[in-house]
Amino acid sequence: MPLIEVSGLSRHYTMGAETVRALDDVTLSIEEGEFVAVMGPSGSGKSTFMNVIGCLDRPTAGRYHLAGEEVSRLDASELAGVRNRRIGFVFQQFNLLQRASALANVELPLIYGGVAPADRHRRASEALDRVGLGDRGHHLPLELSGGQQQRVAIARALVNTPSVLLADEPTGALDTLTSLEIMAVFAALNRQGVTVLIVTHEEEIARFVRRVIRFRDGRLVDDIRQEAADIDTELADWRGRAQGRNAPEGAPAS
Amino acid sequence: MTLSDAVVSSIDALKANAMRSFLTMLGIVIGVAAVIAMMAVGNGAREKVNQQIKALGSNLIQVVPGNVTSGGVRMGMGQSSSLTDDDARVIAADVPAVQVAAAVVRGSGQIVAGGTNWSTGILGVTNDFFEAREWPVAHGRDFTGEEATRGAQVILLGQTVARQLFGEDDPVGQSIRVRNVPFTVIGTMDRKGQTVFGTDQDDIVFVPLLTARQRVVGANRANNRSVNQIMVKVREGENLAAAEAEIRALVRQRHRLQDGVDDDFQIRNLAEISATREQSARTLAMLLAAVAGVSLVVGGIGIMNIMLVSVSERTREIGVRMAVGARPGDILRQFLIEATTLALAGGAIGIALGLGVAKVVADTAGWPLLIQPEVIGIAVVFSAAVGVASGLYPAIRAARLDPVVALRTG
Repeated sequence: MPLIEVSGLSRHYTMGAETVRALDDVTLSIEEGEFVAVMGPSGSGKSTFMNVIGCLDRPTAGRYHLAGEEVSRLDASELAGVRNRRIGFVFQQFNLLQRASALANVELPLIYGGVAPADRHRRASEALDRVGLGDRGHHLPLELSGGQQQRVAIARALVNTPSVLLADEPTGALDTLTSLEIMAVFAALNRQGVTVLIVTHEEEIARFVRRVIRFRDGRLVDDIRQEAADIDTELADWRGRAQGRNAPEGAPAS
Repeated sequence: MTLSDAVVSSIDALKANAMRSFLTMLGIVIGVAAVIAMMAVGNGAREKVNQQIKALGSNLIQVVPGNVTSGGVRMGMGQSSSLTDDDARVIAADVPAVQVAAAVVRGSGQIVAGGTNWSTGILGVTNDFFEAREWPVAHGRDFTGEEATRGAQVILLGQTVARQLFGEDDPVGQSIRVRNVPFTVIGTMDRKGQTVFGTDQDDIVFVPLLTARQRVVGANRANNRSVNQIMVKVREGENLAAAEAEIRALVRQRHRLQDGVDDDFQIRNLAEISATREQSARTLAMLLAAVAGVSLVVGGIGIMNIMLVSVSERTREIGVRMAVGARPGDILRQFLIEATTLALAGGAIGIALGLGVAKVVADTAGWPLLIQPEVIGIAVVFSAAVGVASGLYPAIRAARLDPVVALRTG
């Protein structure tokens, strides 16, 4: 049974007399454990696709099964429950609550999931450990770098052990090295069995996933599987080159 | 999301905008403070009035003649001549709860002393009256038994009359004329001050009961033993209502009134007068409640306003919360709790402020500080209600946000 299975999925908006087909008759399935990039120019429908897959939005037509459950006809409250249990979101702008510590941000999904406080702290700490920020739990988002904030956001997405991690341009606000680091986190999580979908318009980023789907004008136009480039090797290269640039003159190049 | 999580999160949100939160509360603070202060001041003032009424003579019951119907014409209260000084004597003798019962004959007239004159009330009394009213002679002496039985032409002056006729001079031993009848002043009364209704109690003179009947007021033609009033003092600790019932039964029996026949007299006690005061105090309280209601409504509108601002400022936060699994109900509850916390905090500050103001006023005016616990309870309940009522609309708006739109905002 596929983890995500959509058939004839459409999302139409009515704007005055015109109907905008943001998503038009998309049929597709994604298995558990896949690492997928969702690509396309702006206005192609990739964001609408992610919103529907993430249960933030409901399709106007078609069916959507998430882990065997038909979710396209659920009401707002039921969808919230599905998001809480099955979906982990990572956003371009991190979207952390600025007044809350990293730990409190990571705990947020557990609060809405009705997890007891003692359990919450333990699980949130574990999630921060998984993204390498175990010692930053009590920092406020503003005291953390962009890469660290995105790791906190990933920890928040992971904390409820969701079926799928949905990342919307997760590297869009980060420099190249930090982008590679964040991609390395996603790759590592995927190796541990987490299904990851990343919306991106950067081909550079899409190289590291094993499946790329492309949208244009609301339609699925391309769905290819590929050999993923090894993120850890590239990251090591980048770090080496960065170190080389910063090394004192006369030092041997690596 | 548990309630305690929601409360903690609300307090965090309010602290993040501490100054704005405080200003928003101000409406509620002022409203609640006004209620608490006014209630406390009102109660204090009423207690003060009660003390004054007590000073008038506590445990007093007045028996006055009733109205009579003569040939279909109903006369006014006190016109009947049914009540006599024998009634007074029997009340004092037969009702154990009664300490003293004083018969009073009332009149008024011009008093002339040397070159000056003064118009005042004239009461024909026995010494029992001074005991009942707890009104001692300040200077001179009261009536002797011989003066009372003989109908001697002796007179006691109230402070106001003494001052009007004699200024600073000592009136005792002086001769004056009351309605052209010569009297010798034997004393002046202690100062009694004004009644709660503002009448000067010291503007009065006292003569023996018999003298009043024979020489000054004149005896009632129908019944020369009749009196205008019997002033009954009930012993300390006795039940006033029970004593009143006993007196009523006794006088009815003496007047040979059959069952079903109306009383030909009326019994009043000062508790009834305080009940009247109570009534006006209640009217005042209603007025205060209206003022409080208006300030609470205005405060509530302030909270609603700021909650609407807060919802639009935090649209993105709402989107994030929804994305991680907050149900519309969770968002609704969060904003409702925030509004209620705001209102309750305002209420708490208002109560403290109100108590402070009441204390200052009470100290200044010399009133007792009376705080009814239920007033504070009501203030708390009302603040909470205002919070819920004014938070509801903004909270519903927040809960109905589309998460996709909310996440794109700001």
